[in-house]
Amino acid sequence: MNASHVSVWNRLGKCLLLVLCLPLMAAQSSLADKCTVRGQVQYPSLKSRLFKGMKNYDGHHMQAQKPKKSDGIVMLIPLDRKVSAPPTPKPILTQRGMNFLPRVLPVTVGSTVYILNEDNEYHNVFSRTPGATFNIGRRPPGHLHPQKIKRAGVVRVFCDIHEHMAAYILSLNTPYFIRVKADATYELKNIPAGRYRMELFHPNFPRYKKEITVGGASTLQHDIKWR
Amino acid sequence: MAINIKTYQLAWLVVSLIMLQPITLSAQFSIEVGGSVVPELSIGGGFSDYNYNGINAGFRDWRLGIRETNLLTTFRLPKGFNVNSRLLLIRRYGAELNRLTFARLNLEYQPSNKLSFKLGRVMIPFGNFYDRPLPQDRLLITAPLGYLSYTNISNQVGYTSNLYEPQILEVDGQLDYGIPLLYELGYGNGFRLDWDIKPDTFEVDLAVLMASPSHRANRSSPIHPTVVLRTEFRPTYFWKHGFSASYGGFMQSNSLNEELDLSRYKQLIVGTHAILGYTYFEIKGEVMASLFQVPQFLSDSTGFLLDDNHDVQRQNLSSISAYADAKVEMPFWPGAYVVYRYEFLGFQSPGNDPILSDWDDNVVRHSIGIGFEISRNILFKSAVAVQDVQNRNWDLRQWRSSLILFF
Repeated sequence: MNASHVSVWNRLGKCLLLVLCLPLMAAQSSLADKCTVRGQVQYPSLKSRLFKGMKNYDGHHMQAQKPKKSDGIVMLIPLDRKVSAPPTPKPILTQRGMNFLPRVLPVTVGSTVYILNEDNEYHNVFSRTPGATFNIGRRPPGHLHPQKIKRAGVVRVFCDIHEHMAAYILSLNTPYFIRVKADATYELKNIPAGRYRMELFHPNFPRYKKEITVGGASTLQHDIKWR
Repeated sequence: MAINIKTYQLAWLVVSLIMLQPITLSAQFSIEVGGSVVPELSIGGGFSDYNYNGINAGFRDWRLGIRETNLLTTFRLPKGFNVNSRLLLIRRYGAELNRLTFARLNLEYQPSNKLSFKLGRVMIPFGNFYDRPLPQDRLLITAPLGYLSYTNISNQVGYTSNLYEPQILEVDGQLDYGIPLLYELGYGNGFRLDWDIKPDTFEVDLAVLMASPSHRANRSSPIHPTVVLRTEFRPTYFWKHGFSASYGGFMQSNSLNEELDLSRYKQLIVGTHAILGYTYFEIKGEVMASLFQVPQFLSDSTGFLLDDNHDVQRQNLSSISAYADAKVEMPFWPGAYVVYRYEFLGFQSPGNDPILSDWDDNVVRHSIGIGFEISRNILFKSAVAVQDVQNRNWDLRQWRSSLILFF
């Protein structure tokens, strides 16, 4: 093998190495552009109001769920580009102990929510939210009912048999959302750099909205506090 | 519009609040408020009467007006105490909207979600209907016959043949319309215990009242201690079943019955109710049998029927009432349903007495209705009914449509 042959093989080897490394380099570059957004949520205090709506009339008292910190959903809506939000994989809305669990279920638009009755009696689920009306009728214990959510926004669902039962399906146009943890913290991972509107939905409070910019650092700390 | 609030009702509310004032001042409390207004358009057949089909005889033609209004409040106090009230403005015998009454006014102690004690005016725990007293809770507009159709038994004089037809009996200046088996508004004064032994699976309610559940007046004179017991259980997920019983007096003192020992005259009611459901279908029904022990007032108003010993005779008169509702929901239209009701009210007592063996006219009624939830706070209901009365050719058809606006 002469010197010219060696040079050709050297060049070919370098090119091959470059081709092989390109995806890795791209991935590394992509990771560098993604960020973790985390923070603490400081909810307003749940003041007991003097006047409330009538919960029940008479007879036996079934209790509605008490608000929890983890009912909050933090979401990021991109402002400088459009993103596709693939369907949420098998989100389940369970009926257990005469309540909906979770009380707030976040999904992306077009997802199919599976409604599962884990009690030992009938439940019914219906919604009269415009654009998302449905009534699945009385469903026996163990029944798993698929229900496609076609519109974005808050879809309120109820049980016709147990009036105190209510839940919220939060149908979103963004793939970037997370449930607030029980300790009122949140962490959204792998958020691409860019401008976003951060929103926090909790059924008991006004919606929190704030514009933020992600990028420049691997972690962005953003605490949520109502004014 | 004349509105009469009984002073003792207001007094009871004020006393309850004063008694609880140290608690309310020392800690936070909340007030739950609800209410409803029910405009209605109705028309009734040519023989309509409140005592037969709920349509007042003076309002058989097209009528548009408010049928009832409700103001509901619950004062939630610390340590599980509540003061509950329902202030009801309703048409007096289906005529003018001027009857104002507390259909609920009680002090409640609720140590847990499973247990509740109430003292004051309470809903009588009997059958399928008692915890559904509000118009938005009921499938049809008109109450079942056992709750609404007035019989030939009066709580003033006992049994009288043809009490209401052809003429109305007048006692101490008050017109006497007779009594139903169980009063439509379903409240009584006394004590009530609710115990959910296993929530939504097995529950027991017990009430000790001042008069039998057929009693309509605000208070009973004399007081007739009455016991009412209701149980409800769920044999399986699609079936709820219950049994109820009540025993107590109902006769009220007046100038015609001064000589009588009113405590001798009792009403026994036993009943069973059930709810069956599957997907978009529901069947709900109730059977109730009532045994009245009553004096017999002679139809010529000359006095009471006496036995051989010249004592006032005590007659045993029984009746039976049953209804079944079949409801179908519209899967494609949440909140909409169609319901059909068959109901029967029969009067028969054992024995060979030609009068008492058939002491009132049997009634059969068919109703069909629709309901639709326009929004979470507005319901629309419309129903037609045809009603046949044994041995009578009365036109008791009715059509009623209601909007129920509530919060």
